[in-house]
Amino acid sequence: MKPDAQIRIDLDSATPVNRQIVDHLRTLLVAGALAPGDVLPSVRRLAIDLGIHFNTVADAYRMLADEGWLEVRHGQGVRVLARKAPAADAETLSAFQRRLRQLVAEVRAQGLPARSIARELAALAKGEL
Amino acid sequence: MSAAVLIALIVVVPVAVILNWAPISRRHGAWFGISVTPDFAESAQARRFLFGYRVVVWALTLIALAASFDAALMAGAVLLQTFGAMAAFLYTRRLVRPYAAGPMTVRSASLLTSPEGLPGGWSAALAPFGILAATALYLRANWVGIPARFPVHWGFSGEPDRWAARDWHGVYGVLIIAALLTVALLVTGEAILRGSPRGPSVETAAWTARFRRANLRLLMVTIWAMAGLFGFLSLSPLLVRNGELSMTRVLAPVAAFLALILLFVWPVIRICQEPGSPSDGTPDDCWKLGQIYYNPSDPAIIVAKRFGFGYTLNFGNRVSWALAGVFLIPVVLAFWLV
Repeated sequence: MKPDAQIRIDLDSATPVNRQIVDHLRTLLVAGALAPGDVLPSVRRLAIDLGIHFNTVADAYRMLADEGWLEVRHGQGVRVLARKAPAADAETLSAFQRRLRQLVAEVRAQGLPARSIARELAALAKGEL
Repeated sequence: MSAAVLIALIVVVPVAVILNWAPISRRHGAWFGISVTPDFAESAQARRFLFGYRVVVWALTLIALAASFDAALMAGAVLLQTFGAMAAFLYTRRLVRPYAAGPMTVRSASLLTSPEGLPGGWSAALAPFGILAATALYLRANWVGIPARFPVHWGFSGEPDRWAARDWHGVYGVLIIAALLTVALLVTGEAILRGSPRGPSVETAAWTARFRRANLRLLMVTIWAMAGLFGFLSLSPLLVRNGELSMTRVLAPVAAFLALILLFVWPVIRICQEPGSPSDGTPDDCWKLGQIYYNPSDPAIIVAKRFGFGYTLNFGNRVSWALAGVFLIPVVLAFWLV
């Protein structure tokens, strides 16, 4: 685990907090900031540090466990698993394109030039998350 | 010097000094228990609030000192000073509220799981029980040397006004209470380690870690010093000569105990006053009367105080009530045993 690995949430965001935790952790997992074998804070520890309900953190960990990223053992902490990426199907690609279009439209509406968007996408494609 | 004037000097004046100083002994992110921007305390408005509060505190202190010449008015004057200062604090808190920084909605936490424990580990935590047990064994071995009746309380004149008998609770009562208080303090230490946040954001986690460490050191020193003090006090019946025991022989170790505690309180206060000391991230509305934290939405058992130093319970959490109960047991037993 990188020493600066951290999680950030915004209680005012329209995205539910458990979803924010899932998104944030998945980003770290894909980027390699969290490696297989790393131990994450317990549900209790993370809930107390973030000042949110235990169930919110437990939900987030459970979602990532269902995706095959984490192993959650009661009383033994949460461990990052080695995970093979499954073969993406047509539906995954279509959902990705839909969300990407929505996101690009949103940031272009906010004034971000197409060149900047292309540069960011190219960096992401190279794995520079 | 009358007893009432003596009380005035050793109670009213130190209380006034503490009340005068307490508002500035706080994290930079708080002013009179309200979360503010770190530079607010330096503003002219903040200084005006502090000045108004201090004027009330010292006016009440002068009234209490004047009343101390009449023993009948003394108790009322001390209460007036305490409750009057509390009212002044709450009024000033209300004045500060419009300048609140607002709730902290963006939070972050480190994903590192570095193990933390009590300073010195569990061997250091259990050793005070050894001191108390050794004292009990020594008393058992010297049972015949303990007078049938010995003083346990002294009046302001220095004369004993309460005695205990040579039975199991008269002799071992103090040790039992010390053991129970040690258990309560160790449980508190574990609650700080496991049940308090490591900081509302990653940026303030390093400060919080140092604050927590200084508090745990103070807690461990208190446990050790308490075992030593209560061990000595329980041996005091063996110091009785001709049916008498000087109060100064008992007061000297009490004074040493307090001096040792103050020595370790100081670093905690210094850490609180550091320019980088942040807001705690808890909502202002959850601080009842500015001092009592009640937040059922916060899973923390124990949180850093907003006013003064150290930690306080989150009374919105049921576990905190159980912890308060652990402290209540030795207090209740003290009335019965000693």
